[in-house]
Amino acid sequence: MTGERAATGVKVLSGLVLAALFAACIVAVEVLRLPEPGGQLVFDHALVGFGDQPARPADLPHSWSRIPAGPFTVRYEIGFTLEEPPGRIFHLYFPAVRQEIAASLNGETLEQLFETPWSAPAQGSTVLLRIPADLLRGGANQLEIALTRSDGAIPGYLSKAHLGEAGSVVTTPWLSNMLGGQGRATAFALHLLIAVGLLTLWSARRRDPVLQWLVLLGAASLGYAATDINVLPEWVERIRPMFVLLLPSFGLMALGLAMAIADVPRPVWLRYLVVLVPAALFLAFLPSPPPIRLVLVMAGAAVALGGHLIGSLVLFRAFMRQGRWELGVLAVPFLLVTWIGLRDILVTLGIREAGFLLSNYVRSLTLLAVLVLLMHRLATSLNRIDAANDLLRRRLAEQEAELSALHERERQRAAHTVREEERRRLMHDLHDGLSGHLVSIIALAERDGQGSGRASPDAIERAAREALDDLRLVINSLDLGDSDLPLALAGFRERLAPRLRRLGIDLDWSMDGLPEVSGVTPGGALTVLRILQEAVTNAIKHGAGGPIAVRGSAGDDGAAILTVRNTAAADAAPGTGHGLGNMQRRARQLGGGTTFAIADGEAVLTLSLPARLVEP
Amino acid sequence: MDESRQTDTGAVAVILTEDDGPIRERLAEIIEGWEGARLLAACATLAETLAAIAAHPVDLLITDLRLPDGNGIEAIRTLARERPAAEAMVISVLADERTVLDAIEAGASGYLLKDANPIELVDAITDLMAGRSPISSSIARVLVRRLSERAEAPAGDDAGERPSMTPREMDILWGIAKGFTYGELADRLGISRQTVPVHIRNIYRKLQASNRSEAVFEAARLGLIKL
Repeated sequence: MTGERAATGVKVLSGLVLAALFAACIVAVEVLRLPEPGGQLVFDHALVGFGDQPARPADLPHSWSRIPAGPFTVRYEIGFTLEEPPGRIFHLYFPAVRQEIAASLNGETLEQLFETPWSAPAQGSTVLLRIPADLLRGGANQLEIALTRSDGAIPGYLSKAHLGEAGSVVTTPWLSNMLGGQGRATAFALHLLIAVGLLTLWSARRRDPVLQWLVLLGAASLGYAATDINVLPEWVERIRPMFVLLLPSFGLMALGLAMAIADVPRPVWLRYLVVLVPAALFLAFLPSPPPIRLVLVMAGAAVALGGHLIGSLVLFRAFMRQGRWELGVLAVPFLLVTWIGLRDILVTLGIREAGFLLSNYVRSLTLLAVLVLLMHRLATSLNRIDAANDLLRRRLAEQEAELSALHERERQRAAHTVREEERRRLMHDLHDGLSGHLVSIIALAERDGQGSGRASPDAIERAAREALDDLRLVINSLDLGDSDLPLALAGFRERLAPRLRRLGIDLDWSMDGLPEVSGVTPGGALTVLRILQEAVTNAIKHGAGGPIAVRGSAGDDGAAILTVRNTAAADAAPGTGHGLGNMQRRARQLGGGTTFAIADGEAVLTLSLPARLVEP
Repeated sequence: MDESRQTDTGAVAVILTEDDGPIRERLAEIIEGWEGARLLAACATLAETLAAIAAHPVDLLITDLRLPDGNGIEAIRTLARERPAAEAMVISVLADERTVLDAIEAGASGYLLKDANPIELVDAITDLMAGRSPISSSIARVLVRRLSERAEAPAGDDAGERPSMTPREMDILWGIAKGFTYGELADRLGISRQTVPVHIRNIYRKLQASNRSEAVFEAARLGLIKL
């Protein structure tokens, strides 16, 4: 509850701040005035003549009222007395004049300075007239001014007049800048700049609805501002008063833009209305008499103001809901356009007095505000991208660290598994070989000790040597690699040779013809060596004592053949008791096989191995 | 320490070091029973061995490596320093390549299995004194691996300490590492079978020469990576 109340409080406060901002802008427009020019003489009275009617005294500034639309001229006569002729060039300065001015002094036409294509007499301008040195007389002087409206319904306006030397009447740079419509030139340049910026943005993001509406508004506004420059062909000049019928388009475009910025769904017909409304007004305008035309223009102006007003309300509502300050701030220039437009309508209708019409100036202000908003958005987006990049980099670093830790754990686990496997294999190998021999040595020794049939020392020695041989077999096969069968066989030969030498048996060994065998693991090599060991042991035990030949050769399909050949004992017969089943089982584990045959007095054990050993 | 009597014959003067009593006695018996050798001392510790080396003009030290008060390698080094002309041989249960290579680099020229019978022991001593050294296929393979690693190392790293083998010596090492017998190797290389162990002795000498500093000795130990 407290949170909700606080949020409501913040919203109300935000609304008040925006209202204050808007009010400050209004006050600025209404209260701030151009600085009062200097001058030796200030004319604030004149005789005013409407058409053929006789002139009547009136105060300056003077604004037309109750004058029907269409061409019209009002004359102003100002009489004044100088004690003596100044003998210098003087200037006559009007801070604000609306409609075309023509002035004469003592019957001589006065030259208007700083008249440029940027001057827009119907919108209001500042006027500086040059008075030649010999024109002002000592005594009575007569100044005559004619304000002429060539078309339209905008009433004429004439401010006070200031007479003096140039330096004294135009005292500030502000006033200098207003001369010759320089303010309008500046506004147009700003317009152009904004339009180019918007086009650039839009060309890069054509699907963005904000940019679509904005570029439309910017281009249309620039085109409209261009029609104010006094360099257009004659026929354009003739239809110039009708350009005001384009104003409703701006109101509709502003509404579309505001809805796009506030992310509110926009009705499809809105963009058609942008074209259809002014077109309809044109069609109705052409055949109508001036009073109806004024009504049509006012209706168009009402649409224009309504569009801006609704747009500002849409933005303000979105600001209150979404809390995005940019929307609230943007609502202010929209509302300001509405306000200024309303003021200009009142001035045009003669209800309010003012020297200048300001709508053309504030339109650029809206575009400028939107452009600032877009720049802000761009900067925010870039910041977000930077932040996102930072975040991504951080996350990447974290993930890399995590991955590396994971990899390290996995590596340790794999190393542990390999160690476990090796340990298991060693246990198994030692159990199969060494342990069995040691147990048999114990059995032989005990039999010796208990005297129940003596075991010969030779038997014990033989068992011990076999145990040692087996241990060496295991050690020898520890570090073997994939194609290290020849190395394993060489190690076996190196241990076998002295053993046979001790027994007085010749060893005929050759592995020259052995083809390459792959898939050799320590376990696989140990199995091959154990088969050979058993074969040689059998040859020693059961042979006739002749030489033992161990040879390697190639079989079919790349198979490797190892033969152990010896002279058979006279009573030898193949079959049981030679551990043949054991050898056969071991050979099959490797994907090979053994055969044993006795022929021509020779016992031959053949071990065949595939070109690639199967993991035992 | 069992002192033996000096004789004037041309027999090989031997110091035997083995901490296991029965084995020491067995080996001592074999040596004493052979007229080609005379046993100067049968030692059980490193201290006894060093004392014996200092005391006797010895021709051959036969030593175990793992001793109660130190390593037999120290005795071999002392022998190489004190009696440069003398030979050293290690006795080992398994004669695995780590043990044997350590001993060779310390100055040993041969090795012997502990369960050797008299004939094997006599053959081993005779070969060693005649300038022939044994080598197993697994030791040859480690040596080949180590030498090729050193050859690949950037020049200048240990160029001064790198043993440079002759092509013939490399052929022999490669052949033995591949599992050829001395006979097969001699046939292939067109040399006498008896020449093979002489080349191996030269290889031993080069390994010792390349291993004079302790630092390189340690580095070489670290280089013992399995094939």
